[in-house]
Amino acid sequence: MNANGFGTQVKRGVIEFCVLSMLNRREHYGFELVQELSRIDGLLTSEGTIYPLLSRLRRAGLVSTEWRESTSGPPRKYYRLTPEGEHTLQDYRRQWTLIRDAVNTLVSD
Amino acid sequence: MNASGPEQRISDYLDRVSAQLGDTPEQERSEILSDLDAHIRDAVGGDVLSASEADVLNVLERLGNPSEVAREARGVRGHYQQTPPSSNPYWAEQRKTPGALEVGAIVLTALFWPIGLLLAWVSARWKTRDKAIATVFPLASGLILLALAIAGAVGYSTSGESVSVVSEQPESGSSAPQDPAQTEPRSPAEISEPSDGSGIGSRFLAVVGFLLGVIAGPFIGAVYLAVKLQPRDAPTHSDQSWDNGVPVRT
Repeated sequence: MNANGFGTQVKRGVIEFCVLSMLNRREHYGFELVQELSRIDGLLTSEGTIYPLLSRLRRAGLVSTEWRESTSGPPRKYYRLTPEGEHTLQDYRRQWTLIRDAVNTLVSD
Repeated sequence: MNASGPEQRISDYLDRVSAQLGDTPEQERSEILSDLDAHIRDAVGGDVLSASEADVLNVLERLGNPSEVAREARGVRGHYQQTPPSSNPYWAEQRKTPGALEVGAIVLTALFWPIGLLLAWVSARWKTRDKAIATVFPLASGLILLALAIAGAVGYSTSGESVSVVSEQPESGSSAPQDPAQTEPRSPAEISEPSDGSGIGSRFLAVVGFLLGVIAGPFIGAVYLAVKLQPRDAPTHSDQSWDNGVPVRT
């Protein structure tokens, strides 16, 4: 599959959607997000790509970061959703529902 | 000391990511690198010194090829930010295919400009400014023609001694049409209708002028459109940066 293939592009969008949803539930640090996403087989094929994504979301104002002391080692950077991020997440949910229903309708007979 | 092995692996990996990040802004680059570094330390249980080289290699392998990580950072700028904020899939399609719409717009503008320009306005491959300029040429020549037609009609109907731009024949009293319905100089067949010798030259000029008026404006408009057609991927809607549908603050 090439870098701009269908699967890759869909996964990128889905990963962003998942990250916003997870951060809406509670704040996470990077490694936690990767661990949770890795439970879905084949979604996050290169775990490292999550960090450019998080950087982009932060620059877009959808997530904010805060350093917290850790009980085991150096301080950790936690990510949380901003109000703008919540807004975007709601929009993604609407779009996802639309796409899911449309695909289900077309794929099922 | 065995510890240099894992640490060396980590710094090698980060160096390769950094090299692949190319022209990524420094702030973004250092953020990604320090996030990756923190991830690696978390993944091996917090203490790299007590981790085996194999553990570190497994973590690095899961992080993925440095070029793939960098592509996520670069790809977003290179690919997604070029996409204009149009949710209409038709416009998106216009960007990918060499458009039949644009070819039709250019050809029809030369042949029958009202339809051609309509197509041009529908297309996303021209800037609004260029569409407006392309519209001016045929419209202007149309207006000039209309003015000539009116002047011609007035010239014919006011006197037999024609002041018309279309025809200047001194002895045309018998053959020049007096009926206003026949004075419309728009039909070349009517204009070039032979009369006595002295009028032929000026009638010929009138026909050429008429044809130039009919053809030149639209033709210039069509050429202008052809020249100003935007490259396939050029954003024509705005220069705002977009990032996978998310506006980017810079």
